[in-house]
Amino acid sequence: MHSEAVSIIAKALGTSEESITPETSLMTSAEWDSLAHFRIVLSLEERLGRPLDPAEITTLADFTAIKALLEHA
Amino acid sequence: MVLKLMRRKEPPDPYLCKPIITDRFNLVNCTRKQAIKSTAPWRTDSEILHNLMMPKAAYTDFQWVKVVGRPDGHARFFHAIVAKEIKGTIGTHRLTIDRSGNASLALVIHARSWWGKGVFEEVRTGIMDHFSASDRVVRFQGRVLSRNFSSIYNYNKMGFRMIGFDRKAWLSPVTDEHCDTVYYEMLSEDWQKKRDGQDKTDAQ
Repeated sequence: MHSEAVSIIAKALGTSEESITPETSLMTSAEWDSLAHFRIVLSLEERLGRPLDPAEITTLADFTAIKALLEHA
Repeated sequence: MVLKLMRRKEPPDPYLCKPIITDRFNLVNCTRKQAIKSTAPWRTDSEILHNLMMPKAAYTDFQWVKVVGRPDGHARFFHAIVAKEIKGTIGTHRLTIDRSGNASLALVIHARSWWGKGVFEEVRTGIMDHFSASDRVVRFQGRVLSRNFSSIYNYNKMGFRMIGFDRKAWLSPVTDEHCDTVYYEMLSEDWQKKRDGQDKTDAQ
C-alpha cells in the first residue's frame, strides 16, 4: 500500500511505510505520540500550502482521515 | 456586604479532597498558598499562558494571587503534579465544578523535560477516575486553542468528543492574533464505561 498519506504518516512516526495500514491511528499505534502528531499536522500544512482549520485539525486521528484530507485537497 | 452574606461557602468535599496517586505521580490537592507556589514557575511563561488563553503574557506576584483564586476543596481544585522520581512539582491540574456538574479541566506541565512523556494521559486519567466516582460530576469539558496540537492529540487519544469550535474567538496578548478555539467533552458515565472496558481487557 503506497500513498501520500502512508508516506507522511510513516515519516512522522519514524516507521517503515509497510507498517502503515488503514487501521493505523493514534489509538492503535505506539509510535503515534503527541510529537508525531505535531509532525503530521505540519507536514499536511506544508503539502496543502495552507494552515488547517479547526475542523480538519481535530479529525486527524487516523490514516483514513489523513487520506481523505489529501484526496479532497 | 449584602453580597458577602448571600454567598454561601460550601465545606470541602472529604472524598474529592483525598490525594490521588498514579504510577509516576502524586497529585497533591493544594491549598491556596500551595496553588500559588506550585503555579509560580509559569506565571511569566508566555508560551504556557498563551496556550491557557490567559489575558496577559505575564503576571506579577500580586496579580497571580488573584488569578489563582481560592481552591476550596468543593468546586475549585488545584492539584500539584509531583513526580515521585524527582520528588518535585512538574505541573498543575486545575478542575472547577459548576452547579450543573460540569467539570472544566486544565493541565499545565511547566517542566519541559517532561513534555512528550505521557504525563497528560496519566494525570488526566487519575483525575477523571477520581472525580467521576463522585455523583457531583456529570460531565468533563475542556477548551483548547486549535493550534495547540499536543492538547488536541491528548483529548482525542483519551476519547473526548469534539463538540464545536469558535473561529477567531480569542485575541492572544503574545502573538496579537485572533485564535480559533476547540471544545471537547466527555460524560462521566462514558468515562467510567470506557475504564470498565479497559479493566476487563486487562484482566483477560
